[in-house]
Amino acid sequence: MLNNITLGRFFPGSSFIHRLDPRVKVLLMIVLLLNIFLSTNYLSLFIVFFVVILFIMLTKISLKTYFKSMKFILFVVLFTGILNIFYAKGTTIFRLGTFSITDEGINNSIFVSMRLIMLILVSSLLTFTTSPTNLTYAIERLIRPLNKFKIKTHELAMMMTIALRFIPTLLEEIDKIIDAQKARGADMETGNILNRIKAFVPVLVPLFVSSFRRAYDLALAMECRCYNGGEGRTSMRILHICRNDIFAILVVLGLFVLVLIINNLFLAVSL
Amino acid sequence: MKSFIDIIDLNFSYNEDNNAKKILNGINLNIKKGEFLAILGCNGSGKSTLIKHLNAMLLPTKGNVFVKGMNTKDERKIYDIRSTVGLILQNPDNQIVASIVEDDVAFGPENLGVAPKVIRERVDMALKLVDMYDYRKSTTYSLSGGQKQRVAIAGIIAMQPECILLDEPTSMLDPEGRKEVLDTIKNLNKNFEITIVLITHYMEEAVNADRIAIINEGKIVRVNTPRAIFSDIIFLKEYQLSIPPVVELIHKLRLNGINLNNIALDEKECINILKNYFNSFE
Amino acid sequence: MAKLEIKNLTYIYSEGTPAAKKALNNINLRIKQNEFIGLIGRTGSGKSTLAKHLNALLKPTEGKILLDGEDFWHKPKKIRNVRFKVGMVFQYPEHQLFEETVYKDIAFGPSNMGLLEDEIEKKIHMACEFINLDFNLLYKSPFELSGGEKRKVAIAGVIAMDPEILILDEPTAGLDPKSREQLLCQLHYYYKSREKTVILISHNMDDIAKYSDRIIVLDDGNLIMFDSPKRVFSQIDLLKSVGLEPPQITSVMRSLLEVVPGLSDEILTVDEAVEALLNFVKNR
Repeated sequence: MLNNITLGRFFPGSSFIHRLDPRVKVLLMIVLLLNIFLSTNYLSLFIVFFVVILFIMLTKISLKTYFKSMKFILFVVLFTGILNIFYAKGTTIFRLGTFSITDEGINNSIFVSMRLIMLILVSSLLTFTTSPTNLTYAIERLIRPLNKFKIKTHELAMMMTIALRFIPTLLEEIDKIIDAQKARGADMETGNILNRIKAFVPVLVPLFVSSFRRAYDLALAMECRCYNGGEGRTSMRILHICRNDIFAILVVLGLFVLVLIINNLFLAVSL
Repeated sequence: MKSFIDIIDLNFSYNEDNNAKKILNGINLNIKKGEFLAILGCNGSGKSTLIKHLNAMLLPTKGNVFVKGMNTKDERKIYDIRSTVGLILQNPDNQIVASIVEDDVAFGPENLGVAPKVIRERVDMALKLVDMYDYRKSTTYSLSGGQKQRVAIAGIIAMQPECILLDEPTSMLDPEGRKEVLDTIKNLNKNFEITIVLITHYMEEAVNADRIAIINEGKIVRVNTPRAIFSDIIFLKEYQLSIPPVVELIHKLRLNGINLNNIALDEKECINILKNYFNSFE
Repeated sequence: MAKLEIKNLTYIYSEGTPAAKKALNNINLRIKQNEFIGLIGRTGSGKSTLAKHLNALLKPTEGKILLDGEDFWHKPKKIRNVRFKVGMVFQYPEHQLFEETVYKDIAFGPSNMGLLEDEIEKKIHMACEFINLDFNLLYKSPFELSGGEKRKVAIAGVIAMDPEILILDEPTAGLDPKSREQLLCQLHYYYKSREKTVILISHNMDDIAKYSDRIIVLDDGNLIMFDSPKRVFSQIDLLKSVGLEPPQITSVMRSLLEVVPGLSDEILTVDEAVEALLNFVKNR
């Protein structure tokens, strides 16, 4: 079950991208995403795409793995792409019954699909090269200023850590329970929707019961290890911004400025 | 050896009222520094409840528990007590907090506010001690049961405790995992003078202890050395404890008139006793 | 005729991906009606994979499994019928309890089989008797019971389906010595009195030696041995090479061979050992 899903997984490595400071990585990915949405013309869109692909190559994880992560979302990409072809104004290129396809529709469709694809690529870029712990740690650090607004950032980060830690355990548990109930003759593959939902009660109840048991144990174990919320807590990790980070920051900021300039140029031309 | 944990007239029930069923009923026990104590008893005898009193996870309804002179009821001392006395649970899956081995081991010292550099040193030291250093960057869910349990032990070691409590740490493991964990426990006790309190159903594990305490229906019925406990077959049967096959073998041979004056606690001893007997027989 | 026949069974996990792994390699076995089979091997040897095949939870990559001469996967749509005939008790089966009452939980299997209410009740009573479960517990919530009682309820849930073959994966894990002994005794009694085939997966060699008629030894997906306990455990070196330890008594006797010549290498229990040693003393 776990082997087929690459979306959101971490592939350990020591590439340039792997070694970036996780805080820098999270921020850079946000800026890259901004770039994607700011690109309103083909030129900037393709420049951004080029940079994304460049970063992907730098991770030394095969392109195949990245495209595998899109398998689940490809349907969404196609669907929104096709919808966009039809629902737009502009000069009609050709008609298909009551539907008309316009130049703007095709443009829209390409932009939307490209943006979605890049969105997935960029988020995969982050999750593939950053361990869950580093990722949570970076996010905890970045949202720490929100503490001033009485948002408990440490608790949020701790919840994320525990969630990430228990996802594989719970998936395995679901597999086990399904097998066990099937062995008792539970029928989960046939029947109408209502029956199938009913068939999941014997899976869900044990899953909840075991999750409560695990939660109880975990709370006990955390208390035994002197957990007392975020106050007075230190961290083993000491992060340093190094030359590589500065280099990456410059590249992405440069890209940001470039996209803005190109956008302006196109705006000037069309005016 | 000086007394390290003192349990004085410990009573415990989940309900305050007087008619409530007593899970623990008047326990008195001293645990010495550096000692290896095994606790045996049926499921439901109160073993787990007892052990949770030793690091202030539960507080006595009546009576007191002192850890190095600190009363577990003293709230100001609670973190001192818990960093002195660590607890390992039965299910290795449920006590690991982080996805990466070294991050999990760091969790305790991080909670205690130890400086980052020192945490790093302690984590490396603890992982080497349980022989899991090569796995420090691995994901915790990909480990075997025995490895997970050793990571959990490292997580306690990193808090530099003087005592580790283990509540059936091997009952969910395969024989290989059980051996790994038992070897780790023995190493901590022999070479690092860490006090061990081990709850187990496996007699082969209990024979390694300095003393065995047998608990039944919330009361301690006997505390003695493994040799003394396993010499008394009638007592073992009375409390429905399993008798290791080698103990039973020697016992039955003696009943049948074979003149053996020692009892065997493990395979090696049994072989030696019998070899000596049959050699002199020639 | 064999009750259960496994022919050239091979199973490959995640076939066609880089993570593909051969979990079972050309296994051939014939198991008779009313046999108590022990299944041993270290973790990862393929024990659970084999068990899941016998319960039709996994489909062989290659080869066949026949029950009373009929191929399991002959009619894939009727596969549930195989599961009714081959019952499986997983590790920590109490983790699958879900109903409001013990009665309803045990009834889950039989009612999936489409049995009538009075038949279900009979089966439940039969199962409770075999597993020695107090009838007074039937109308309690399974979540109120003690660990040992929950285990019994879960096993009763499979026995109530009255399968012809019962597979149990480490049914005594985590129980105290007294409950272990009781449970195994009850299972053995069930096998004897109802002439069922029982397959017991366990790491405890003393239990396996005590109860099994024949033992299957697996290592890395391969069938190493399938023979009587005496024959299997006399092969101490072979067992050690696949990461298994024989019963303690067997290895003690092996070490005594140099001072007690002529000692059999097929001694498994304390009583057999006592008898053999006393005989030696008498004949001197």
